[in-house]
Amino acid sequence: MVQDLLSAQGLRMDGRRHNELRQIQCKLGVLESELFTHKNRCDGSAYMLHGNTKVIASISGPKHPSKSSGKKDESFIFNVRVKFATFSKNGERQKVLKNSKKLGEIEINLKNIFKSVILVEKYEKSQLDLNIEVLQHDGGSEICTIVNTATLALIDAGICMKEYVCACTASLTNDGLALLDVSHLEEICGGPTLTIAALPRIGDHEQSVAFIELSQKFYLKDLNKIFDCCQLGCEKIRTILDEAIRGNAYEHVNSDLTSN
Amino acid sequence: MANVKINLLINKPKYSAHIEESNSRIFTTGEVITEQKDFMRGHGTYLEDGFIKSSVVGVAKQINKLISVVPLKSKYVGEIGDVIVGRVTEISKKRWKIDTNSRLDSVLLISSINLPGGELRRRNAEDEQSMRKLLQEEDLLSAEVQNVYTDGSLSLHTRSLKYGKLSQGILISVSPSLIKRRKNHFHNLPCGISVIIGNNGYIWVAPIVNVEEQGGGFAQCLDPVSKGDRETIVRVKNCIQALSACYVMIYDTSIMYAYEESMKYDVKELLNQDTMYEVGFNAKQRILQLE
Amino acid sequence: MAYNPLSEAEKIFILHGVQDDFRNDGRTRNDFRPMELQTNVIASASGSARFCIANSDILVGIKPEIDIPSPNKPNEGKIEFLVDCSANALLDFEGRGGEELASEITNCLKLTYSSPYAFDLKSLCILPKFQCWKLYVDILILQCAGNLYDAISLAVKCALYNLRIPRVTSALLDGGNVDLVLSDDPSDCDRINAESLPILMTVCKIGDYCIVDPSIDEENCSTSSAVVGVSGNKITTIKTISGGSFHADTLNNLIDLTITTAKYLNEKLLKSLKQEERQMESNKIQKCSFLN
Repeated sequence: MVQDLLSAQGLRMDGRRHNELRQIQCKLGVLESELFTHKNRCDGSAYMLHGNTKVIASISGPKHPSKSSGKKDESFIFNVRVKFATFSKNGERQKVLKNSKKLGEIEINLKNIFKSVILVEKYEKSQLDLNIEVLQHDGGSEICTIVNTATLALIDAGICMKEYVCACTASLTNDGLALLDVSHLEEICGGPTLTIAALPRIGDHEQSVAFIELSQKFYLKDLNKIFDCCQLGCEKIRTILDEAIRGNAYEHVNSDLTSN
Repeated sequence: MANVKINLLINKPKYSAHIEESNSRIFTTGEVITEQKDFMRGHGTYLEDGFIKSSVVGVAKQINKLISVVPLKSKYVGEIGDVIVGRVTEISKKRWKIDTNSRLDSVLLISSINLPGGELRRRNAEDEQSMRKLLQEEDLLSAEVQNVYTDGSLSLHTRSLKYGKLSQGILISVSPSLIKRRKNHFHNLPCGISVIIGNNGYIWVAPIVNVEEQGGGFAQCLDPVSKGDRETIVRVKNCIQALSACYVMIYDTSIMYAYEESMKYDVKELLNQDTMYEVGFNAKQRILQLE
Repeated sequence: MAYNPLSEAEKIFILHGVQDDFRNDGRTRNDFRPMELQTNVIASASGSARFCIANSDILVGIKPEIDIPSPNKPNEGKIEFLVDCSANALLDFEGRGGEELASEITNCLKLTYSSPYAFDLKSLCILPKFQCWKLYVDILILQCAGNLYDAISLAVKCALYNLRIPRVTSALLDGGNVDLVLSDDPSDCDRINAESLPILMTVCKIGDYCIVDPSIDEENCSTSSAVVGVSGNKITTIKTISGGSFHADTLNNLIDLTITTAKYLNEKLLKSLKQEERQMESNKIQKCSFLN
């Protein structure tokens, strides 16, 4: 049976309580390239440290579709590329993955998630490129960090969206207590893991979920519990993102955009 | 001897504008701005459940009943009458495609330019073939926004002597939201050089040229620029980058303030981040005192 | 190369600037842009560094692995480089163009590190003929603002300085099998002497003059450029990049220029690395945050 994920004192393996997130640090506009005047510059970027995972996301566009993209029928072209650095994982060096199934899956998921929140009609005929580089990770739920970093980068680039997208994971102990933000250790110990990417609304609006993924099995009666836990996590992450975004914004606003 | 300076990132000070109580309220993505009832939604907003919500992060702006949110950083969204600086990316039949830092390439029709010397255009094939003589790929030009198409792309015109091909100088690119909208975007600064502050965030710094002598704005002067002018141009360029790094609105006065603040340093010292921020912040302080 | 369009007039402006010894950002022909460095940025790598020259932003991570020496060099270890033109840098790198540039830089690094004066591969040997260390040096270009060769070689040097290879306490040959014992103590490790590790230096010829540390625009204006690998007083490699040709005399001057400049740069770099190390020790910060 699964090893107990919670000690008698109610602490997890890394000393967190059941409803605590791992450490999150984030920053917008890390790849500032105001020196470039060509079309292929980086228009927005963000960096996030979540637990042991470090991710950089950058945006290029919206811009005139490059000729190589060729798809003329599609009104809005959204390219996503995810890469893992060869040194990103502990232990053995990772092979350079190109067009692997794992990356392809993450890319498609990201595409679907963000196409549902970006106000696509504003970007007809143009192309938007999202590039993700995972610099460091300990396996497991890096998709959450990727989604959260991508949200920040899109906001940094001034892309019109309906809402922040926040992603989070949750698991379940043997006693049926939901655990927030599953670490790699907890994941390999074998609890079920639920991953969601949600649009947590401000106020008392219902959250809507853009992405959901479940690994392993548990009783249906527990689903609500674990789902609620995930949603709570998304709200917490939203607060963290919001703080970073507002902090970044106030630096700009000192120069008073309203004087226009 | 070479000049080499290596800084340690662990010692990098965190430059942040000290946050003051600001009247302007920041709206973030998804935040409700107001009920829909009496307002119209503009750029950077969307409608949901009867509320106008912000779709970007920025400051709300209200003009009569139109509410829009200006994002801190974004591509240029053109308006008719804006002055822009752009670069030719492609020549096709009867039109130039121009990169104006917008979402889509802008268009300059051959019918929207004044030919050199005020010559009238002969509408024939030869005329179209000689387009490259006027403007070729990668040339820079200043122009005005004539029209905004429904898909958001811009059509430009250069039907004034002040617009046309740009000659020697330096192009700087900043966020379009940092450009202050003013009556005049062409300035001859008191330090003896000229700047064109494009609404699209492209800024052109160049020696002063006499417009009348240029005859229609497609001739170029390729004589060496004097060392004095060159120093001033580069200094102004570094100052504009300092302003941009400190998020100071860019217009003639702020550029001159930064220029004056920078005088105690060598031009190349302005590349160092601490000097750059000092110049930017000092200029910002002086602007705040002005208000 | 990274593509940044420039009109003829802009190019002429840059050309005259180089002639006047006053470049487009105020530097003289021999000046470098401000640089920044941080080592130990990636916890999952045994050695890592981030190095920036202005906006050219490079991240290097090194992982050592145990390998078998190649039969013709039984008492030498191995080192392998891989440059990744991450799309974060410039999307021009996407597709073939990026791969070409990446393999060009990778080859140049390989060449310059293959000289025994520059890097002693023997120190990576554990048990001749049977076991050696293979260093995988992986390079990510986060952002490019010109002068990639210099930035990458400096970043690699910093990461090698930062590298900690686990110490092998005993290596025994038992029949045909090798029995390795690695030290349990993570602080007990071998380091590499970084002092004479080579630096690549790009020199661009614009008009009649040579400049160091070219920006993207200057790279576009140059008629010919060369990369010289310098280790101490010796050059370990020389390679022309992009088209164009040099006059033999120019080449001689160019090599003199790179040797003196690289020597000075090397001193500064080692000083900064040592200063960082002292600070990290005295503050006891085990901070591993990549961007602070």
